Amino acid sequence: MAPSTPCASSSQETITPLPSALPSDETEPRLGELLVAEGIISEETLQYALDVQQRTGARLGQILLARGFITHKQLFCALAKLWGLPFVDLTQRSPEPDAIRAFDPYTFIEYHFLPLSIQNGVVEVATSERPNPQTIAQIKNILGDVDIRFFVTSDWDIDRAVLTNFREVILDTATYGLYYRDPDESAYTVLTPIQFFSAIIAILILITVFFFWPIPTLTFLNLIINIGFLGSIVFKFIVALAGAKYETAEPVTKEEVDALDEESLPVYTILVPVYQEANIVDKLMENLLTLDYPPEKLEILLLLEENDTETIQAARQANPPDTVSFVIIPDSPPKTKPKACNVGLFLASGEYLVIFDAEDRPEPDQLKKAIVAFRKGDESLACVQAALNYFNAYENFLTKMFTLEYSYWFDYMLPGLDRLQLPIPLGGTSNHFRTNILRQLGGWDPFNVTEDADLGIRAATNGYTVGIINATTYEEANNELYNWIRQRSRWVKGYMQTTLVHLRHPVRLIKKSGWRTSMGFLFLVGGTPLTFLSSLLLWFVFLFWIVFRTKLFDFLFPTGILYVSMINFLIGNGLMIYLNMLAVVKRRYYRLLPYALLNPIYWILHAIAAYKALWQLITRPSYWEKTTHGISQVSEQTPT
Amino acid sequence: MKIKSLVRLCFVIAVLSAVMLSWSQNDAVGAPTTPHEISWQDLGLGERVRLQGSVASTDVFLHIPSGLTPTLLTGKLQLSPDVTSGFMEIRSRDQLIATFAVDAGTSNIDLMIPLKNSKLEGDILPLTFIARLRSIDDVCTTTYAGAWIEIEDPKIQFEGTPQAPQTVGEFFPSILHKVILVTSSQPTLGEAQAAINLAASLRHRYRHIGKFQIKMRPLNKDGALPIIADEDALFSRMIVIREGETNRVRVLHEGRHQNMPILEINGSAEEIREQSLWVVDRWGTAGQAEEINNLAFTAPQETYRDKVLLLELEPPTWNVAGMGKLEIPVTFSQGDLGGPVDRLGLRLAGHYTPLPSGAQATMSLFFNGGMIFATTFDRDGDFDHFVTIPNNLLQRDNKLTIQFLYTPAGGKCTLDAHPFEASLNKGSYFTVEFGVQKPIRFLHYPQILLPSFQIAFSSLTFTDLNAAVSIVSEWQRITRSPLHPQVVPWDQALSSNQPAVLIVHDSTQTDNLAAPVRLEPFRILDNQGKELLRFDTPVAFGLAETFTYNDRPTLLIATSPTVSAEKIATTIVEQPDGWYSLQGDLFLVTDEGKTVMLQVQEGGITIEPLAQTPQSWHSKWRLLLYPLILLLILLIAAWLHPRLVRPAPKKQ
Repeated sequence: MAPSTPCASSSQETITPLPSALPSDETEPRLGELLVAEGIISEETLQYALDVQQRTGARLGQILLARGFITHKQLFCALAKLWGLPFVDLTQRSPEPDAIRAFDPYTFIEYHFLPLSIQNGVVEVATSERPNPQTIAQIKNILGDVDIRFFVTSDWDIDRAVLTNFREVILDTATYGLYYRDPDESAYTVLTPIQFFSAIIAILILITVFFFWPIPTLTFLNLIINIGFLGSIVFKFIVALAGAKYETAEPVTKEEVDALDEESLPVYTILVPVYQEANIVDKLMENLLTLDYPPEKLEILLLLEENDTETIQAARQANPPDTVSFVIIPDSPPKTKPKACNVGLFLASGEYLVIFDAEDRPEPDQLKKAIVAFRKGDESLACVQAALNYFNAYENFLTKMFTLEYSYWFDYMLPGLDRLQLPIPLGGTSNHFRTNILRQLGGWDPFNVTEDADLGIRAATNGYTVGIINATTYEEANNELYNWIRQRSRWVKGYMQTTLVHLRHPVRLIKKSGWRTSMGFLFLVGGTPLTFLSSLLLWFVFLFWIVFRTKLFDFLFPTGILYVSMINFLIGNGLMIYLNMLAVVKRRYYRLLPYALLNPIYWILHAIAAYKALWQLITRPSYWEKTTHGISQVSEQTPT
Repeated sequence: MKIKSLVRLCFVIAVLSAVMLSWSQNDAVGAPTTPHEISWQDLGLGERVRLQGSVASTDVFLHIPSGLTPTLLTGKLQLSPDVTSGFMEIRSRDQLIATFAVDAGTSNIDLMIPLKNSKLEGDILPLTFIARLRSIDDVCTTTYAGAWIEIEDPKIQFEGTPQAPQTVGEFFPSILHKVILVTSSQPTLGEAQAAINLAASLRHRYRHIGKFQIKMRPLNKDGALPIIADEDALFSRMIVIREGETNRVRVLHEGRHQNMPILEINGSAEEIREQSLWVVDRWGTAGQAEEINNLAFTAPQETYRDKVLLLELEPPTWNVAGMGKLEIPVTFSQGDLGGPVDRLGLRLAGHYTPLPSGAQATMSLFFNGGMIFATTFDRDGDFDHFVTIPNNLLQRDNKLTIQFLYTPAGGKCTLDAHPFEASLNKGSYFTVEFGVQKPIRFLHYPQILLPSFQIAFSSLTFTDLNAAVSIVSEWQRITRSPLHPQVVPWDQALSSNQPAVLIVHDSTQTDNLAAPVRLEPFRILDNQGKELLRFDTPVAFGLAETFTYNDRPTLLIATSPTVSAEKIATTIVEQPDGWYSLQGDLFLVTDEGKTVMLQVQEGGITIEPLAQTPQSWHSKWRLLLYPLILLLILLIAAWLHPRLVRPAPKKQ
């Protein structure tokens, strides 16, 4: 047998068996000294890294990796030498199925080891951590009293090997994990059989009633829709009023952020799902590096779809620091962001976890603000949501209207919901979780195309709370009409899915969450698609009636309904315009003020998207209408 | 033990007796209370008895139902303010019933006059009211109508129990408040004809009784009679019309309806038509048996005539006596004259007391307020004049006032002055030329339907028949001439030239009628093109309209799914003045009960049909669409199910 060299690829023939006793580090040189001695880093670099270690408490290897002084291979080769163990390259040697079959794959992620083979009572194990009693106990617990021979390998290799060898299991868990946990919490099926048949019976009853009493039926439906509309307007007004309180009170102050001790900061996992976004990977790396958080305590998982070779190639070419891990998501349906995130969640080792989209530009102190918020909140605080806004607000009509809408939503509505302790449907990105609670909640629903909103509601119905932080992530507003409709139809469809999922057991929902939360959910999540769907029809009828003075629709508008309809039309639109104006004033987007008056036109686009969403809910319920990013002509713009 | 058993038996018998008694009492619901009180209106008389002038008298003949004895006359005595003194006398033939003096302070007094001394002549109670009044006003003043005394809201109390009819001839009493016509729930044309005949002839016979009404009820599904709780059962009758094989008219004594006499007419379509004509009319009284089989009767044809005796128009009196202004009003409708009148003349004859020297008397005729004739009386004592009535004064309902003005010698109208008396000759008559004025409007009904008219149903239902009965009854209420409706099949009615009443469900069946307004969305514009009225939803209204079709007057009643013919008829009958309330030629009833009356023909307005609306489309096609939509929904559901409800995934 050839002697094993620490960083030569090991094969079956080159493995040098080691005693099963743990290597001792009492007489070993330190990692830093070894790296200096081998000429990988300089004395100055070591001193710098030790200073950082003093401040942050991070491991030296992690600091050197995060700051780009060494590569993974250099680090783990050095560690192999340091620990007196051979190095094994898992890209060259695959674990034998018999060796790993008995283990739960998550054990490998948690304890950073991977059995390679079992022969004659000897187990060969690759590890990225110094072998320790816990690891040995885990192995023996599963395999019995065996001899263990350790090899050193990188954590990346372990993750990749686990993903490769447990591909089906991980995919199954990422896809159906929530469904297996509780089928009624998953949008795997749009409707349950009971919901489906109840809906059909309700429709048949409606048709029958319409047959016998057509005009009273239509009038009654009109009344119901108008009352629902009015309720929605009143609800939004109350929530926005409550949200206005945050104009004077900040959830997290700068002083609180400054007071954080970096040593106490935990590891933070950042999930970045990327799909067909090769053009913005460079920018993504740049944006993530601006975060004010010790890089050695960041675990950035770039979630790349297996078949998206172009983006994978672009990501490699971006040459990101070694704190960034590429997670290749196996290609299988449904190809959705939440499924990728679930795989990321499987690998995540951070105490906290956040999702950013590829084009996001989070404010640098956002992670720290989230840490402060979590520490200020109680144990039930599962998530905090940062505000979203757009960096290309002034690009065209669509981006202006989008900015108005987001400003109102994140600056008034979400704070209002938070203040009134109502469920908060999370926004697509910049939602920060306690990782353990996220796992308890079952992660994201891969069949729900607004998995974030669904998760927020699920958290609320499971007794957890969602808070907000006064930090903003700047995104790219959709500036192209069809792209906008695609994105908006996905959101509306997701709201429909979320409503249907959480209404599968209305009584249970009320019992678990209470009337307040349930009604808040209904008005916010259920009411949104309904108002979009009905608004176009109502406006058409109302305007036709006003303009042509026809009596065709008189029967629909007896006096009482007429007044409600007038209130909806005039006060409802007026109120939305007013709230949008307030929001842009708060953000100091004064140039957008006149555009608030065009809000009703923007609503027409919403209605069109809602009808598309309804059709897709039936025909392709879990289809993820991918929004194209990176098409803005505005690269940098000061938001305010 | 035996005693105990006996006590138990007695107890059981007592309980059973009590139950039986209570049942028998329940069965007797509607039995008359004693004393029995009936207002004069319900007896077919007026709301009051008024005597006007210094000397006045009037005769009243009260029909007393068999088995009842009049005991008391009640009412409220009222005097005109100018009366200073006088007295009133009530007689029954030569028997003085009551006499009492009045003076200026007498008014608003409750009267209670015993009638035990009155003389019944068969079932007639004759009463004569005589008054002599002094007043502060001069009765010779031409503008003064004279002092008056009246008994307001008179009522008669009776003792006894009305006798239930034993024979067919006794079935219809002199006083009747309600008749319930019963047919099968899906009547035949023969039954419809019989019901409508009965409605017309009964209303004609009891037209003086304001309270009289005719109702319709269907037989139960099992053919049994409907149970009707009626407190006024003794003054009600039920007539059951069955088209069958047995030619029979009989009085029924059904246990559950023992308080309401029942007559059943049974036979072929033609036989029940004849029975319906025979049974109510005067010939029916000849039926002195409980059951009459194989009745053969042919009603005599109405003959054309151009003269109508004043007698037929029932003037309140033929004689006047007194001083000052003395009047005989005669009210009648064109229908009372036998049809739509084109020209009208009056021959009026009579006599009067020769005038004493120095006295003056004149006779003036007023037609609907306009003077048409005047003459001065001399010592001759007779008058006989022919007067042509100007067409412009002729209305549907008319009032002829024959006014005598008498001033005694010296111009003093005192009680001791020589009185004046005038009498009309009962041979006085109107001459009539009939003719129809166009366009036809509601005010031309019912006279335009004389002497006979046709009724046709596009598809005969019970509610349609009920509507026809209500309307025919209403027309007969307002005319003295008997109506002769003929129920004919739909196609026959369309090709006939007789006036017709058409009741239609399906608006497409009126396509050939050229009705001004169809049961489809339309709007009405004025001369300037301004929209006056718009009906977008045909299901939301029904209509009655009259127009000329086939050169004959036609009344079309078009129903919709939400407005039945019954609802249209009821709405018409319940108008404040019934049929008289209808104006113009179009009457719309919405499903909310709102009504619209318009003059569409030559009314300066334009009817513009509207394009099909969703509502009209729905109304037209819904019967077909409903199952199709249900099927479509089920198909869509089958298509949706695998897409929306997914089977559970297979676990790895």
